[in-house]
Amino acid sequence: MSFSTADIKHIAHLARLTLTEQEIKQYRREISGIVSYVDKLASINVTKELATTNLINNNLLRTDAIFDWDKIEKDLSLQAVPRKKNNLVAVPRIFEL
Amino acid sequence: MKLNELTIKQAGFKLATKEITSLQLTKTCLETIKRHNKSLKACLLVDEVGALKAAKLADERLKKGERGALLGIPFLVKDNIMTKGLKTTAASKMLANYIAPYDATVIKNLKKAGAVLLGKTNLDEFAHGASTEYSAFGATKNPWDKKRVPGGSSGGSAAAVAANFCLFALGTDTGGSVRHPASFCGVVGLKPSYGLCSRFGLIAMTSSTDVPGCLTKTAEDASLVLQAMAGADKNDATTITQDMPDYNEVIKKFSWKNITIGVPKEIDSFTVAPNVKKAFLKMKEDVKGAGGKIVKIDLPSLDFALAAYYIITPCEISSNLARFDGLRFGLSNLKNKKLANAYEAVREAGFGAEVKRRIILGTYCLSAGYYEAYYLRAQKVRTKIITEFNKAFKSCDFIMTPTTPTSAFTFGTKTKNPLKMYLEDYFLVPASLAGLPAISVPLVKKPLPCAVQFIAPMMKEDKLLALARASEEFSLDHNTKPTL
Repeated sequence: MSFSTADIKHIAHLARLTLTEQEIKQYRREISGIVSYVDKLASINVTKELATTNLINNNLLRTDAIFDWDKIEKDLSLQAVPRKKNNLVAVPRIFEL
Repeated sequence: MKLNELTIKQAGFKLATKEITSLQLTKTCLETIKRHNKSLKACLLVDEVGALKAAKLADERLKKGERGALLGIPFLVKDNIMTKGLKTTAASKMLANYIAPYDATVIKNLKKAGAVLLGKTNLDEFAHGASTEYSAFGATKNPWDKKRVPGGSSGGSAAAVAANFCLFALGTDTGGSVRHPASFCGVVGLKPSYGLCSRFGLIAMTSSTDVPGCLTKTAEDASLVLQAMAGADKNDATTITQDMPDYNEVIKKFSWKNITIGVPKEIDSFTVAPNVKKAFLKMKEDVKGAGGKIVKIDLPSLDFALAAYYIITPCEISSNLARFDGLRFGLSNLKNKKLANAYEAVREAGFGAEVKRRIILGTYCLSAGYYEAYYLRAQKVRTKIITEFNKAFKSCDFIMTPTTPTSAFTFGTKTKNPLKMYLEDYFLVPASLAGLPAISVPLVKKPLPCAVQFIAPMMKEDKLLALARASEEFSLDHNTKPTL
């Protein structure tokens, strides 16, 4: 499997990464190498197997209730927010007006 | 013997009999870190004030007659585990100034038991790696030879235990990240069953295989740490509610008679260094000499495990690391008016090369048209591996492999070829994919450590730790320490 510059740029955009020309060159080579290795899975027969998505059969459940954090936890969480307005997280506009 | 060189068991006895105090023990650890961390770079943060305060509190509890295996015992924590009020960076520029607002459940449990938190240890950025060379803050060095890596990704924790910075350390193991550095640094590394210890407060990497684990000087110490860490948690829906045995008691009852250990015949086709091969062969002979049985077993899909792992892991990473958007925490760049540009600016500046590599790989494998061929197929291979393990455990009690194919390698050997670095996890990912408990026990320490890995059926930590403890007796240089 080989990856073109456009392929890597497209994937990087999906992941919201911007890459330098040098990085694109490097990842073209490296991702091709890794994908060639993992492609060995194509040779294994898994027609009878179901996918394992969770190793634990019984999920531990709790009531769907709000539980409060203590003051220090709240303060520290809000301190980590880069831009706030009235103690809410301020973010750039999603829709252009 | 210096106090910091004691095992948890030994120190616990001295604390209980009032021969020493936690404050003395803690101070000795802090002094050792001060003296040697510059050259080893095992710790990213040392919380001297917090540690001394916790030690004094532990001493008060001891004075009142309270007893507990970890009461007053100093420990270090891998820096991808949340510690309230302390920087938790995951060794990434993305979180360089991030202060954890709460404690991970395992930290809460250990603090409740009276363990004394000394600080945080180095790792590969976001735990992506097997050498600690991918830390954004500089690589940790192996205490046995500073020209060599400590393994990874919990390399700082393993090096810290080997160098007696602490009595034990916590790590996380997703595809070998506790066992691998344990092998390279000559310490014991336990990866518990998936679901036994809460993942709440671990900075997520691969949610379907991540587990917290511990690095200790002995298997018996691992039983003491596990006892305090484990338990169901309402904040982690994948934890299991079950009666826990008294691990430290149960592991004392062990006899090699009636023990059968399976060695997968598929491992013969993988190249293993002569020193590892020799030590592994000796272990097999020792087991037989002690009355145990060694049998060859079949794990036909073993050779596919690494490929499945390196699909599943990048996929889950690309999803988990999408949370780093620069809006709620971590590195931020809000000069950009447009949201997409704000994301990209932060992720470009915050993530290192290996993290980006894994995000790209995972995004590709999950993208439309490729999901079935990669992620879904890998999840089916995973089912196959689990079935094969279950079948193998019908003819043996444990499975044994070398932990790593070589001893610690020198810096820069594998960073130029990511696939070579991934192959370090060859023996380690199968247990992770199946969620099984596994432990790395040193075989030889000098001149460079190498180790054996034992794997047990799900939730059989008691039996696994008993076996590990018994196998330590075969080591000829178990008490050897590195010269710092």
